[in-house]
Amino acid sequence: MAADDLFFSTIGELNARLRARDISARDLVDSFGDRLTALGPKYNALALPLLDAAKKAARDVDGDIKRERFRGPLQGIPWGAKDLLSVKKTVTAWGAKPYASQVFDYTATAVRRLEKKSALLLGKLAMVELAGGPLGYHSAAASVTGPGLNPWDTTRWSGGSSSGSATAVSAGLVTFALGSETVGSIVTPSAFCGVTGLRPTYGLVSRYGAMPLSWTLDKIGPICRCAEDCGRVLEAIAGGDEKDSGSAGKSFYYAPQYARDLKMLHAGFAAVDFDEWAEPAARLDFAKALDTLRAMGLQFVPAKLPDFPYGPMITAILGSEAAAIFEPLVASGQVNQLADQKQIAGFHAALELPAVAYLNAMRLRRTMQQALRQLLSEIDVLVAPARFGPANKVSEPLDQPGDPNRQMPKDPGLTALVAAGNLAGLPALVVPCGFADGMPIAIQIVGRAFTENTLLAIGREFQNRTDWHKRRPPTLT
Amino acid sequence: MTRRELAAFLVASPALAAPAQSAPESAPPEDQLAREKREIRETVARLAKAKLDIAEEPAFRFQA
Repeated sequence: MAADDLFFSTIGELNARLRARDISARDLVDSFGDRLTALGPKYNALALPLLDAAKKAARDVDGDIKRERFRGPLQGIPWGAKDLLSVKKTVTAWGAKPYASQVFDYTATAVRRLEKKSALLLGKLAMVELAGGPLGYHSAAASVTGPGLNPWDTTRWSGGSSSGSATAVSAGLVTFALGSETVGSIVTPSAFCGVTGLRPTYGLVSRYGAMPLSWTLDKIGPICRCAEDCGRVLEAIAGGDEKDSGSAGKSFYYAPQYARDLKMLHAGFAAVDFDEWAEPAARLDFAKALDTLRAMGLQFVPAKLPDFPYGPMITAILGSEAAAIFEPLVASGQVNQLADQKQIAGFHAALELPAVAYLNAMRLRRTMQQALRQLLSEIDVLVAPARFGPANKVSEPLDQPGDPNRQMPKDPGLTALVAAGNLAGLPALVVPCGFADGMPIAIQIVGRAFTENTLLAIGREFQNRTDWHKRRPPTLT
Repeated sequence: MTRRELAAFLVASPALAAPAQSAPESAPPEDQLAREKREIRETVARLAKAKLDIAEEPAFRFQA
């Protein structure tokens, strides 16, 4: 096996080699650790290496494997954590200068659960400062580690806010990573970097020990090489946790073999998303992706989202909750140390959101959830582009429309699916499906709450029929 | 990580070695603040237009 193949192996492939003692956990830490520390800074993807602890843990793993004490598919697998997840006695900076020396005396539940499965944490991965704040950010450079650079083209953005997590998987610096999503922070970087990301149902994965941005929107999920790996990681990190008041108290067992026959599934979609909203360079591969899903047996039916002011609802809910969480940061004046002026202004402005706006948004959210539940009682999944085109240039502002000359369609299609899915707490799987302008593009598959196995079964079969998820950034092959 | 590893890492990662360079440490300009506040006002106005039953309570739980 070539050295590069090691770095782009799946969890299952590495686990098989470890169990066969073809390679040791220490070998993996050394190889991936060298690569992470050499290439991670090149992409501004690394927040903090944790190699000493990983080497110590690898010794234990190798001892266990020698004694044939196998602890599941994640045993000995190198991974990275978004730097909003606390690891006891190490710096957890949340991507932001005011927190550059912050140290917690406890470890996040999701990290601890991976430790229990003997996965090897190699480091903390870079992120957009404070996961984007209450009203978003202007520039890709909104991070203490600089702009996330895309391994497919370093003049382009990696996406955010889980920038380092998607980059590190895409560039073969770790085998999998954890990211988080409030509104799009797993979906966007996974799509831009050509990796497979899973946003779990709200409450399935504990947020204890993770930076809160919005108590009612935050989710933690895996970013991996393939849907199968996402299932394995989700099984390890899911489960009830009394330390997270939003915990659903449910476990997850990855069992795609028991998912419904794909030929029985109805997939809602809006043709306008693929034919008109999608950037012209992306339309051919999006169309092929739909063809593949049809060939798998999915029955496509036209769908549209219930009519709600999704954008203002997100602004009111995320803005109010983030303002409450970070009010001390604003009051202290340290908010002005953030790298992005829009984000600084957003924190100041969000404090002026009236309580009535928050409560009305939450009341609307309830009726919206009911309407979406009704839609998903007739349709099993919704399918749409994860993003309508490839990653932005790093130099482009993120808060302005791309091409002012482009005529946008009047039909909204499912353009609000990321906002709607997050407001309703629904799971989404992001699967690479081709290229536009030499950059990866992806589809998102959104399902009912707690139907991750259905999404993963679709993703797995899609990846059995395509090889987009196996492509590697050209500068690295 | 050892002190040597840390030093090598910081050299390789200029943004971490000198984080102050990427942070303005200044309040946002007035026009930026005005834009964000305008967005808040528009948000409030659009939410006010939405039809809500008087009995509708806020959602705090997510169920399957």
